[in-house]
Amino acid sequence: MPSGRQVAESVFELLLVELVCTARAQHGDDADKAVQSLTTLGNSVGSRLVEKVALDRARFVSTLDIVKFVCKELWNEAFGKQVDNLRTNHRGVFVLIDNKFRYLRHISPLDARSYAVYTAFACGLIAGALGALGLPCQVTAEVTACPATTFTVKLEEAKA
Amino acid sequence: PEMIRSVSIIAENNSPLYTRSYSEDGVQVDNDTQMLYITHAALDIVEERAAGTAAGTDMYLGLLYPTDSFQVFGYLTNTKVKFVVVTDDADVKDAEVKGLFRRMHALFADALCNPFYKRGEPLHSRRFEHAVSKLVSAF
Repeated sequence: MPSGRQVAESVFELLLVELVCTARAQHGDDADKAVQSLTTLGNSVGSRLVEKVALDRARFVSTLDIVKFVCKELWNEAFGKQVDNLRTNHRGVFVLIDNKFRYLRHISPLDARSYAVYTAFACGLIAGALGALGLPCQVTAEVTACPATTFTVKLEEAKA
Repeated sequence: PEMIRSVSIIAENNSPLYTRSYSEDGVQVDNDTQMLYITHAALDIVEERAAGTAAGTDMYLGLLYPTDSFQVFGYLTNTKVKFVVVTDDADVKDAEVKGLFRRMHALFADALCNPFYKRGEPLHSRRFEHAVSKLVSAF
């Protein structure tokens, strides 16, 4: 999306880190609540961003079509690249693997559970986008080997 | 000259997000019930068209139905937002209406980026209002 007014990505990354700190502080270090509020924030952004990214796109024909769009065009716009691997059980669960998840590039290694706050915003963004496109869902992320991240999308009603 | 008599943006659940009607002279009209009625009747057809097209995956749905004095066009986004435009019966070219929808959609996407605006609520953006008026008068 060409725009005369853009912001350096580094600024955005700093903002994300600060968001995590603020969310933690707001919820007295309760990680779950922090994750919740960051996810909600991401939801709000994702549902708006998708309208712009999908602007010139022909109408989707299937659920898989929509998920692929999120893996390619939306991922490019939000996370600077495409998803590296997409898998599904054809019963409403999709697994998206990003081997170099952009938001984790500059995060020092943590134990697996501590990444949740750093991926919460992105999970919310993805869920917000999918929701706006007609696929309400839950999105969670797992980081086993930073920055490789595995996102699991569970659609609300099992749609093949 | 072809004149736009009404533009509407309607949410998936059919609640109105934005609707404006114009007289033959291009003056904004409030509560033009005829336009509201025509637009409302068009919604059923939008849903039919959208569900029916397997091959046609265009967001632009084309002419929905002609009445004796007006033509009604529809457009459905991937986020299930419906746009309906009513024009005076004239030689309105498909390509022009398509372009109008595309530009309105872009304006809507911009308005949506306002974090204080929630999806599904009526749109009250002055910038959007201004831009749409310009689009309509330039048609």
